[in-house]
Amino acid sequence: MKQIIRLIIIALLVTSAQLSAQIKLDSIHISGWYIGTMDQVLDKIGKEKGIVFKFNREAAKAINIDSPPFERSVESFVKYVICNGNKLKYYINKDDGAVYIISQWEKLAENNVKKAEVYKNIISKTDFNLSGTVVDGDSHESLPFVNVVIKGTSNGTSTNVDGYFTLLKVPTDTSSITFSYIGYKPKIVHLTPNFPIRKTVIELEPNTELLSEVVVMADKQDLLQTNEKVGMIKMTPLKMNTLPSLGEKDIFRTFQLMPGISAANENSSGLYVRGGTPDQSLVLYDGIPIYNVQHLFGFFSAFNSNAIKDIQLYKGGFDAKYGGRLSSVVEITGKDGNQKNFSTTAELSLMSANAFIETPIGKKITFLVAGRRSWQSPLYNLIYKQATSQSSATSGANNSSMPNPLGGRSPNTTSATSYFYDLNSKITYRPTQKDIISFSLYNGKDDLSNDFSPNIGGGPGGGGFSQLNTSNTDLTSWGNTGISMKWSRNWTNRLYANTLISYSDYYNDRTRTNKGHYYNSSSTLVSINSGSQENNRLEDYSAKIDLEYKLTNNNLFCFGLDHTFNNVKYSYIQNDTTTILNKDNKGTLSALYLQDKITFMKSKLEVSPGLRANYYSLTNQRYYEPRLTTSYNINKQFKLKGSAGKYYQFAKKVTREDIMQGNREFWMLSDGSQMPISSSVQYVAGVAYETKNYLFDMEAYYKRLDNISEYSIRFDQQVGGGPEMMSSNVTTTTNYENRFYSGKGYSRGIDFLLQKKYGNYTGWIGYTISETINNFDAFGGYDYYASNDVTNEFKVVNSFKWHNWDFSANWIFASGKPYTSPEGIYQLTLPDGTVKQYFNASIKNGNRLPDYHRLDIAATYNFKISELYPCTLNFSVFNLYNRKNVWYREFEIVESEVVRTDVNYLGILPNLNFSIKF
Amino acid sequence: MRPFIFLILSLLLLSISCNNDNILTADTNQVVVQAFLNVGDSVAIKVTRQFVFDSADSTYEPISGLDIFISDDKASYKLTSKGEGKYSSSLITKEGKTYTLSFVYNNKRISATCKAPTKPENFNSTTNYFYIHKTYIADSMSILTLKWNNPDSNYYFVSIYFTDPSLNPIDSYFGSSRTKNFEPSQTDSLRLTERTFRNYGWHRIVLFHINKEYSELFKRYSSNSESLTNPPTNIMNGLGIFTAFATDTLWVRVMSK
Repeated sequence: MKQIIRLIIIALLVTSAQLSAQIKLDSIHISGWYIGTMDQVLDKIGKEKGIVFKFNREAAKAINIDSPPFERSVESFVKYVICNGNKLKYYINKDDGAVYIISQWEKLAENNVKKAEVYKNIISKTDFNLSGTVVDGDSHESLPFVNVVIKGTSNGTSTNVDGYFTLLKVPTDTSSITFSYIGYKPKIVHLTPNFPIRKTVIELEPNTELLSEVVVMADKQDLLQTNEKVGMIKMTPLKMNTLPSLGEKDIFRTFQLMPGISAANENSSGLYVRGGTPDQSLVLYDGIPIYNVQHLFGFFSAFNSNAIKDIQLYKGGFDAKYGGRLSSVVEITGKDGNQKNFSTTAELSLMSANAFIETPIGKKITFLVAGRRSWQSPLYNLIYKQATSQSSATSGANNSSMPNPLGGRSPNTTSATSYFYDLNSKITYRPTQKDIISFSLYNGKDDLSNDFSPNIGGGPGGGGFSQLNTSNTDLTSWGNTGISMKWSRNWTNRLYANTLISYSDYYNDRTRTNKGHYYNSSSTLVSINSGSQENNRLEDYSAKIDLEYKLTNNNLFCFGLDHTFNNVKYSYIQNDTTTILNKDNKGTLSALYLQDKITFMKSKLEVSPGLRANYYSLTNQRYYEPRLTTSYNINKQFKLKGSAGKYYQFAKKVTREDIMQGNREFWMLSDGSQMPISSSVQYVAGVAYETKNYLFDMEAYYKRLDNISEYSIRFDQQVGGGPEMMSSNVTTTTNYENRFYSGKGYSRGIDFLLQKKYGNYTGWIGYTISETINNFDAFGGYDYYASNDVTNEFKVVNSFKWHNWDFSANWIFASGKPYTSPEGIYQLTLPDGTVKQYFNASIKNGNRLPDYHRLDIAATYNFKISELYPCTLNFSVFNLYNRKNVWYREFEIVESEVVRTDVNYLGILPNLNFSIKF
Repeated sequence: MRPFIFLILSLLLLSISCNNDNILTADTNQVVVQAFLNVGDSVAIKVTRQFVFDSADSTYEPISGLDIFISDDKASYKLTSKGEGKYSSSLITKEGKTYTLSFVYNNKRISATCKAPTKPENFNSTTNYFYIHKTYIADSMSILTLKWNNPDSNYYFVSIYFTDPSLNPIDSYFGSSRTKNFEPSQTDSLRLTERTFRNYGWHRIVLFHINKEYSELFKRYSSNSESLTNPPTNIMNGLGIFTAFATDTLWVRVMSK
C-alpha cells in the first residue's frame, strides 16, 4: 500500500514538471485595447506577438470583440474573450505550432481535412470496387464494425469482424471516404487515381491521446454507441476507464448503465436484458460460447477489458447468425495483438493486478497475453469488516421485548470474500493478405468462501430459543476454459468466409455446511448439522462456418452452418447422503441460417429478413426461427426501427428455488420432456431523434416466453416423517426428478435514452419501465412477478472532461426486486387430538425488497511519464452515500422461529487504479 | 411540429405497453379455517388468522363475528359466533352430502367445499383381547389385524387411545403415551404389533373415513432450508381445511401374561 502511494506521488510530481514545460500561451501577455471583428483582433495580436492563429475567416467576421485594456495572458484572452460565449474552442497544433480556433462542435478531423489537398485532376476510374482493412494507427490492430461511407452519398458499408471492408460502386477515384468508429477520430480519405483500390490499409487514430493543457478537442467522446441498429449497443473499452468502477474496468457493468439492461444486480455482472435472465444471453468471446461470465459472486465480469477490442450487444432482434438463446447476444472481439511493436501495460487497483503484453513475432504473427488476479488489500478488508459488523437497515418489526408465541428474532448480516483470476491469450497468423488464422484461449476461475457465524440472542417469548451459535461453511469454485481456432479468408471482394472450431468447458461446484447448536426453552443443548453439495459441468464443442456474400452495395447475403455438441452434468446431494438430482445429458444442435440485408430508397429503408433452421438430437425435431429487422430514416434526424423474431434455447440455466438461502442456478440441457425447449417471440418498435449533439431514443418491446424452467421441491409434499405408516404399500422414496416445472411468461417495457454525445460534458439519462411476469401451472397457475422483475429503473451517467482530468458520476435507482418469504405459521387441531403446525410461504415472489439506489463517482488523471509512457490514475468511490442495498434474504426456521438474515450488497468502497503503458 | 409528433408517438407506445394485470402479490392477512365436520354430529368450526413473521402478532388471533354460511344440497345455514373464533350450527352432518362454506373476510370471499364420507363399513378386529409379556421384547409380529370394506380405495386412518384412568406401562423404556396415530392410506386393513401398545388395559380403536384433503394434512412439512413446503389447503383465498369425516369404533384389551 505504501509503495502504491509513493508511486502515485512520484508520478504526480513528474507530471506537474511536464505540464510547466509545455505551457506557452500563458507566458505571453497583452495589454492593448482590442476592438473590432474577431479576425481583425486575432490578426493584430498575431502580428504583435508572433503567434499564428488559424480560424474560419468568414465566420470570424461576424463576431465582434471589445476587450478593455488590462494586462492578461494570451491564453486567458483566447479562452475567455474569444472562445467562451462564442461557442468556440482552441487548440495548439503540435505540427505547425499554430493556434487553431474552431467551432465548438466541429470535428477535429474535419478541421484537418480542410488543410488536406483534394485531388482536382482528371478522373481516371469510375464505378469501381474498393477493398481493404481498417486498423488502429498505433498497434495495427484490425478494427471491426467500422463505418465506411462515401462522403456526400448514402453508399456505405462496415468492416467485418476482421476489419475487412469492400465498398462497391465507388463513383469516381476522386471521391472522399469517411471512416468512423467509436473511440477513434473519424478519418476522411481523399482518393486519387494512384490510390490502391485493393488491400488498402486505413489507419485510425485512437481518441485517447493525452491532451496537452490547452488542447480542447470537440471531437466525438461517446463511450457507447446506440441507434445504429434496433436494440444494438456498441462499445470499445478504450474510454471505459473514465467511468466509476467497482475496482475494475468492467464491460458488462458499463452496458448495465444503458436502459433495458438492469443495473440493480451487483451480484451479477451477467446481463439481465429486457426481462431476460443472464443465461438467455449468448456471450461469444472470439466465437467461443462462454457460459460463466462472472467473477467474485458476480461482482465483476469474467472478461479482462485490456484484451478486448470491440463489443456489440443486441438487446433483442438479433440476426439469424446467432441462435440458441432467447434474449440477447453479446459478441466480444478480442485484440489480435500489436503488429508494429512490443507493448505492455500494467495495472494495479485495490481489487486486482492486471498485466497485458502484445508483440509481433516476425512479420506475419502477433501474440497477445493478458492476465489478472484479485488480491485482498488492507482497504478491502477494512470495508469488509465494516460491512459484516453492521446490522441490516431493514430489521424486522420483532424485537426481543415483544411477547409472542414464537420468541424474538433479529436479523443478522453476512458478506462475501474470495479470489479470482483470468487469462486471455491469442496468436494471430496472417499467411497471406487474404487469410487470418488465429488461436484464442480464455481461462478464468473463482474460489469463493462465504462463511459466516451469526450469533443470535433469542427473546424471552414462550417457546423461544436462546444463544443460537452456528458456523456456516460455504465454498464455491467455478470457472470456464475456452479454446478456439478461427480461419478467416477474403475469397474475393464480395465473398468472405469465417471458419471456427471451439471448445468451451464450464464448471461450478459448491459445498455448503451448517453446523451449530442452541439451547432450547428447557435449556437443553440442541445440535444442528446440515449441508449440501452441488456440481455442475457443461462442455461445448462447436464448429461453424459463416459466409458473407455482397451481391450489390445494397444487398448483403449471409449464410452459414453451426454445429454444437453439448454434455451437461449436474448433481445435487443433500446431507451427504440424499442424492436429489444426478443428470448427465448429451445432445447435438445443428443449425443452418440465411439472412439478407437489403436497403431501398437511397438507403433510407433497410430490411433484413432471415431464417435459422435447427435440428436438435435429443428431441429429433426441427425448429425454425424466422427473424426480421427493419429501419426507416424519415429524415436525417428521425429514424423508425422495428424487429420481430422467434428464438429457441436448448441449453439453459435452471433456477433451483430456495426461499431460505436464496435461489441457485445450474445449467441443464433440454430433453424435450422433463425440460422442454424454451422459446420466445419478440417484437420491438422504436423511434430515435438524433442531432449532432443529442440523441433521444425510445424502444418498446414485448417478449413472450414459453417453456421456461424452474426446479423446486416446494410444491410436491411427500408422505412420511409423521406417525407410523399404515401400510408398507405406500412408497417413501422421494422422486426429486419430477420437480422440474415449466411455465410461461412475458416481459414488456419501454426503454428511454437521452444522450449528450459531444463536448466536454457528455452522458445520458436512461429510464426503463417494465414488467416481467411468469405463470407456472404447478405453482398455482397464477401470474406472478419474475425474480428479475424491476418496475422502474433510472440511470444518470455524467462525464466531464477538464484539461487532463476526467470526472464522472453515475446514479442508479431501481425498484425493489420480488422475493418469496416464509410468511407465517398456523396450527390445526385434528379430530384425533393431534395438533399440527404449518409454515406458510408467501405468494411466489409476492414480496419486494427495498428499492435499490447508489451513487458512484470517479476522477481520472491522464499524464505521461518522461513524455513516453502514458499513465492513468483513477480514483473512484462506489456507493458514495453507503446505501445498504439488500442482495437477498435468508430465512432459517429453528424451533418454530424464523431467523431472517439480510444479505447486503457492498457499502461504500473507494478504489484506486493506476495504469501504465510501455 | 417534430417534438409534437414525437410526443404523440411516445404516448402511443406507452399506451400499448401499459395496462393493468391481475398479478398476485403477497397478502399476509390470511384467514385460517379449521373445520372437521363429523358425520352424525352438529357443525362446529374455528377461524383464526395466521401468525405473521416479522409482525406485531402475539398469538394465533381468533376471528369472531363473521357471517359464515354453510350450505348443503338444499339450504344455506348461518353459523353462530361463539367468541374466540368459534362458530357452530345445529346442522347435522350427513354422509354423502356436499357442504359448502362461504364468508367474506378482508374484502375477499373465502370458500370451500367438501363431501361427507360414508360411515366405515364392516370394521372388525381379528381379536378383542391379547396378552403381552411384561419383559416386552419388542416383537414386530402382528398380534391382531383390523379390517374394513374399501372397494373404492378411499382414505382411512386409525387412531388408538388408551382409555383407563391411570397409566399402566408395559415397559417404561418405550414410554407410556396414551395415543397412537397412523397415517392415512387407501388400504382396507391394518396389522398391529405388540409394539403398537404401551399400556395394559382397555384401548379404543377409531377408524376414520376421510377425504383426500384431510389425508394431505399428514404429508411431511419440511422446515429445512430450501424445501419449505406450501401447506395443503382446500380453502379458496385462505388457509386451513374444510372437510368431513366419519368414524367407527371398537375396543381391545391388552392383558399381562
